[in-house]
This record gives sequence, C-alpha cells and structure tokens, in this order.
Amino acid sequence: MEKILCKAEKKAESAEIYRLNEQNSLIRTSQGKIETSKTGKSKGYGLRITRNSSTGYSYFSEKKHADKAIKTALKLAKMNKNPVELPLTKKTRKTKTFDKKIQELDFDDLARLIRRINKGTNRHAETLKSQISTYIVKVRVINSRGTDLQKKSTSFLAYAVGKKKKATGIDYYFKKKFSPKVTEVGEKAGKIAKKSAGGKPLSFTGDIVIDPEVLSSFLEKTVLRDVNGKKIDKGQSNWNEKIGEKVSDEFNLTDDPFLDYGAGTTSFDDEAVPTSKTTLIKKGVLKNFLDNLETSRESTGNGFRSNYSSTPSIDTTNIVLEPPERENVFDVKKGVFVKNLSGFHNMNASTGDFALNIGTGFRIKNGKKTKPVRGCMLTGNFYNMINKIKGFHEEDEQKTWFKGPAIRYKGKIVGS
Amino acid sequence: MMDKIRKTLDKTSADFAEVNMEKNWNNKIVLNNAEVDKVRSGNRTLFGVRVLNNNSWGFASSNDPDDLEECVKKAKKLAKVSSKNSINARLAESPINKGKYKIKPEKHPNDIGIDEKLERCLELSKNGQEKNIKSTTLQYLDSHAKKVYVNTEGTELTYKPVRSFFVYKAFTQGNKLLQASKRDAGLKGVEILDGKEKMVKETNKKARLLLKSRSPPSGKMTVVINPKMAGTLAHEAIGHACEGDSVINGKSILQGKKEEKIGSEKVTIKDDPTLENFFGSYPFDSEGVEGQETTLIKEGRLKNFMHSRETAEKEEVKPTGNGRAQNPSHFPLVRMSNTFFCEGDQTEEELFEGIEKGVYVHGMKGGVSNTNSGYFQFAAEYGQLIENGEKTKPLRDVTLVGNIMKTLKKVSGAGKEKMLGDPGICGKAGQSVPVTDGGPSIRIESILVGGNKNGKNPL
Repeated sequence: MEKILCKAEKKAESAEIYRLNEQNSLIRTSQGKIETSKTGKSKGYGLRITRNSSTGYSYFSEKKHADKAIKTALKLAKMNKNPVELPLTKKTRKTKTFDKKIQELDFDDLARLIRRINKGTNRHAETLKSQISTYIVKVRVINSRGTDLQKKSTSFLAYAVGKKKKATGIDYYFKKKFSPKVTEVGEKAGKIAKKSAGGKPLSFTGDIVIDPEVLSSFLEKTVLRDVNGKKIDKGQSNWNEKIGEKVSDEFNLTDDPFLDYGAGTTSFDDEAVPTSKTTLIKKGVLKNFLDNLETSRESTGNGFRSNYSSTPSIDTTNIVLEPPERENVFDVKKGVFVKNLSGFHNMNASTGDFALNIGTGFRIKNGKKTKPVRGCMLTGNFYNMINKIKGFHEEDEQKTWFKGPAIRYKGKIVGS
Repeated sequence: MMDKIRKTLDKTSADFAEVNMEKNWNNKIVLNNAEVDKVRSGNRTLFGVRVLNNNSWGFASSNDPDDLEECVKKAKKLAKVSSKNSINARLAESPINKGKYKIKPEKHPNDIGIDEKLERCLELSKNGQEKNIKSTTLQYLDSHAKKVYVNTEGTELTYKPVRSFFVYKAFTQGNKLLQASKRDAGLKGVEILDGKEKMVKETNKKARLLLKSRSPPSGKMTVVINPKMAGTLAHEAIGHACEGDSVINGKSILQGKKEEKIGSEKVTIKDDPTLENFFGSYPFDSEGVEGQETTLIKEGRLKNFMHSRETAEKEEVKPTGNGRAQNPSHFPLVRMSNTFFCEGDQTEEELFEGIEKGVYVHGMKGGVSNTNSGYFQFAAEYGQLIENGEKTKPLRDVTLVGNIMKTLKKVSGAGKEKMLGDPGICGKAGQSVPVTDGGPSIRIESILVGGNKNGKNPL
C-alpha cells in the first residue's frame, strides 16, 4: 500500500488509499432445512488523488491494476471541482467493535446456532426462514499527510421469520458482538406470528404507539436525510436554513459512534477522520448537520464508503433518541400498536407524507395489547408526527444502529 | 480463463459444480445543479463457486482469481455442513449450452473518453437549470464486463454485456421540498445520453406541476393506470407471486392455482429476458440456462411460474432461465427479467369512457407486495382526477391498495399501445438485479385509492 501511495504522491498534491478486506459466512434455512452454507471474501482499494485543487477517484481489486488506477484518478481529477483536504494524523477514541468469539465461530457452530433459532420459532409457529451471518471487516486508510489508521470489526446477525396461518413474525439481532441468545430471536419471531394470526384491518383515529424499529425507519427516510451535509449543500434538504430553529418536540437526537458494539460504532470514518458524537436535535432545536471532507463545513467524521468501489458519502453511525420524560405509552384506554410497517420506499421522503401497510399490529385496550391488526394503512405525515408526540416509552430498544423508545401520538389508520 | 476454470472443475468429485466469473469496468458521473460532484472509474474481478453434493449446497466466493481452486474445495466442504439437515436440493435437467454472446452498442463506453461523457452530462444539466427549479441531480453510469459461466455438466458460456444508466432529478420548493425524476437504462452504451434534453425538460415540468398538485380523494373508485404503473402491478404484485421459490415455500397466494382463472380476459402477463437490449435482458441466467419468454397469465388464467433449476425440479417442470444472482459472489435466486402486461385492443378514449369520478395514475415511485396474501400497495409519482371521462386536476401522493386475487378480476380494459422500458433495480433477499417492466394503460373498475390529507377531498 505504501508503494502505491508513493507512486501516486509523485504526480499529485495529495493522495489517499482506502483498503477494505471483508470476510463473511452465512447459513440460511427455509422451512427449517438448510438452504445454503456460504462463505465469501473480498479485498479492494479505493484511490483518491488531488491535483490542481481538484479531486479524482478510482478503484481496483487486483494490485496489478494499481498503476492504471493512479493514472485514471489523475485524469479524473482534472474534471472534478471539489477540492478535498485530507486529514493529518489525529488521535482516535477507542471503541468496542471487535468480538473474538465471532471470529472463532466455524460452520458447525453456525449450524448449531441456526438449529436453536428454529427450535425457538417452532415453539409457537412454523419456521419460515432463518439466517445466521458473521462478518469480519478490516479497513486501513493511509494518506500523503502521514495519516495511517487501521480498524477491525466483527458483526453478528441472527434473523428469524415465523409463520402462523397467513401471518408472519420477524425478529432479528444485528450488532458487533456475538449473542448466544439466538433461541430468543427465533422464539420472538414465532410468538409474533402466533399472536398476529387472524389479524384484521380496521379504521381508527386516536392513540397510536409506534415501535422503535418503525420509528428508526421513518427517521432514516426523512430526518436523517435532512441533516446530511451534502444534501444541505445541494439545497435538497427540508432543513436547509433551519439551524437554531425548532424542528420537533422536545427530544434529543444524537449521532453516537461510541455505543459499545452498536451496528454503526467506529473510531474513525473511511476518510481517516476521527468520529465524534454529534448532537443533531437538542430539545427539539436543530443543532448540527452530519458532514464529511467534501461538504462546506468541517467534517464530523461521517464520511463512509459502502465498498472500496464507492466514493465516500455521508452516513450516520448509531442514532440515539433521548426523550424529555418517559411513561408507559401503552397505558391508554383504546389504541393501536404498530409493530411493523412495510413499503417505506413508497413514502414521500421529501414531504414526509406516508400511507404504509401495517404488517404486524395490535389493538390496545385498557393498557393491554389485544387483537391483531393487519392489511390496513397507517397514514399521515412524519414531520407532523414528531411535532405531536404524546408520550415516550419507559424503556429503550437497540436492535441495530438505533437506540430509542416506542412513541405514542394521535394518528390515523385507514382500513380497506 | 475458461480453460483454467474447466481444469479446476475437472478435479472436483462433487456431484455438480459451477463457476461464475466476472471482470467489470465502471464509470460514474454525478452532477449537482450543473456542477461536477463526482467522477469515478474503476474495475474489479469477482467469482463464485457453487457446489451441489449429496443434494446439499455449498458456496464460496472471492475476488482473487488465484483462490479458484481453494474456493471449489471450500464450497464442497460447506455442502457437507448443509447436508446435516439439507433441503434435499436437486437440479432439473438443462441442455448443455455452449456459446459466446456480446452486446454491440452504438457507442461503446470504452471508445469514448470520460471527459467527453462529462461534457455531454454538463450540457444536459445546464439545460435543466430553469426558473422555479430549486436544485437538480444528474447521474450517469456505464459498465462493461466479461462474464464466464462453466459447470461440470459441460456448459461453457461467455458474455460481454454493456450497460448504461441515466437518471435526472428536479426539486421544487413549495411548503415542502418536492421531487420529480425520470430515468433510462438498458443494454446500451453512451448513446443513452443522446436526445436526453427532452427528458430533462419533462422532469422539470413534472416537478413544477407537483407544486400545484393536491392529495387525491380516498376510497374505492375506478382508476386508469398508465404503462409505468401497469408495469409495477405486473412486476411487484403478480411477478413476485409467480417466482418459483415463493410458490414452493408456501409464500405465494398463487400456490396450487395453476390453470385457475384469477383475472379478467384482459389480463395477459409475461416475463421475457430475450427482448432486445432492455435493462432486464440477458442471453443466459446465472445457472447457464438460456433466457426465454414465460407466459405467467394468459387471458386471466394462471399458466406458469418462473423457475431456477432447483425450483423447476421440485415443480417437475423445465427451468425457465430465471435463476439470477446480483453478481458472482451471490447465490442465484428465482428472479424476474422484463415483466409486462400484454397490450389489449382499446383506444385511450375508450379506457376513460363513462368514468364519472376516478383517478388517472401516472408513473410510480415504488411498490411493495405481500406474495403471501396477494396484498399490494403502490405509490404513484403523480396523478390526475378523472371527471366525466376527462382528465382534470393534478394530484400527488396517490397510493393504490389492493389484492391481486380481487384486482385482476376487475381489470376492465387494456390499451392498444404497450410501453416497455421502465428500468429499475429489483431487490430480493439482499440482492439487486436490473429489471424492466411495463404494459399498456390499464383500466381497473374498483380499487382503493389512498390519499392522506383527510377532509380535503377535492371531489
């Protein structure tokens, strides 16, 4: 890598090489039987070169193509107008992203774990699908300003889909730490399927409780795009000139790269900028955007590459929602709990308007979840929803990159 | 490369093994508001080995060609892991195919410098900087590849595809930010950029129209859906329910309904990867099976499902050439190619005739369907009210909700002109493949239309 950097430096003002080394393993079952056992590895390089105050990008998977990639990046640098100043070496904070246990799992272990998932689901429903995956990712970023950072992370996914009559139930776990409690994932998927069986559509206006995972999907489609510094620079965000203004109810929303073993936990981004905790919303007031080296503000350490072949773009790490106060949001006389919504890619991300299908939901009567609900639509506007929250649940949930409570608001469900 | 793979495969004692290998070259240009955001080029190699031994699957992939032999061994080992509780996989017979295929575009991406492509994109984007358009994004991608498929049965295929993709987005600012976009993609080269001025202007016009639009009425009514939305219905609601793996796994409402009448006479739906140069076209799938036309529904009667070799064996039919993988590092799944409603015999006027109050639905922003229940829900890009057979006020955020088992029976008209060519990327089980869908305009007598601004019913 140093040799490639050396060659690139000779012809450029500055250069950066990003190397990604990935290994993954998975076992997947269908109706309780192993569909496939699969392993894969991949390695590749992303190159960024600056010359005459402009930047060029290229990538390659085989080292023998390095010279050509340097030439290409130099050529492309002539056309790009966005100068990028690569970072100097800086101290990074230690984060928990590596679990030796995940690295040590072999396929016999994975087969054993998936049997346990299925056993859990089977207690309550049929096993439709299940999966165990492990990932080991190594990243190294070096640049001509002397920066040389390396990181290693592991991830573990346990996923189960149970089926009862026509209803399905899904549960999963995805973190950078191994979890031996995979039976619980299966069991939960089975229980949800069982409880959802025979669900019927309804029309309803009133107290609606939104599951934290559903809330995270809404945030991903709207608010987290609005705070993307690139979209701000392009004028494609709803919150272009809203720093210091009230944008939501009085909760805090933070990008937190330091949660132990969170799906988005990392000590530096893919541009070798140390990550930092960024307050996006404080007591309902918009405070900051997320930036990388390419935006007009200082990088917050949110420049990530989805692969060595992709150029850095802005992404979140872990998102934490902290409510001003908490209560039992289910404690209402009459309401509906929305556990799962489908079709998020149908939602109007720019206006926040949505009409989404309730896959799994339950009526709430006197504080208890009762009859299943499905096949009807939750309709409304997400920006209005986060300005009319009536309650935040006592407990937080963190399954992947989002940590936060269920919320209650006054909404509308349209039956068919 | 073919020889090296053949020699390696000859050494394995597995019941069946196949190798997909690909080397590809890509260029990408992104412009924002007629300024360069990013230009990127690169290449990569990747391959995957799939082994079937004792009716159990094992799979190993890498992007270092030197790992080939090791991957064949690994895949065989993993087949042993699967065999402890296997699905008992078997492959339907497929002819031994040998052939070399190549796409010859008018302007090969390799023959035109990236600077020339960029200049053309800049020119187009400058054209889009108009009054009331707050912001624009233009994206151009081209790729060409060398693909090799070899299996232990003797099939040996090579393919040199060329693909390009163009998308233009325009934003307008009302109370909120509104977005319109149009795209084009196919097995073609840099010629995709020719004549795109019209598409840029049309997208801007659409974005401005959204400013004046309001939400539709809610409730059951008669709708006419345009070719793009017809394509969405064909792909999302019917196509996915006709995928062999969903059918076999009891995840499709169409399981066991072959030869049953599930739609009106006006409904004929096909999947066809052999159509020339569409985004979802291919000569052979990721299992080396030749692409072919499959009639899913003929005049309302369910005729066939789409299959990989594995699902075809379970259903005791021939494979249909629908075993596709995103790239060689993925396991092939049953996937669609170009999926569409076939044309009918009605004129545009006839389709709207007698509709007192209804909605004309344009384009689509996306869709989901539940193959298990037949339920579907699609969001349209925009729409128009139909009043007394005439298209009137513009609408936005139009959502259609229905169930294929009811909706297909309510199809009461199909237009004469079919339009195929709405390209997209279809996702399933974490894999994305290029597809196309389309059809003529279709009239549906009764379907649930979802608006969202309650109490502001424009009817």
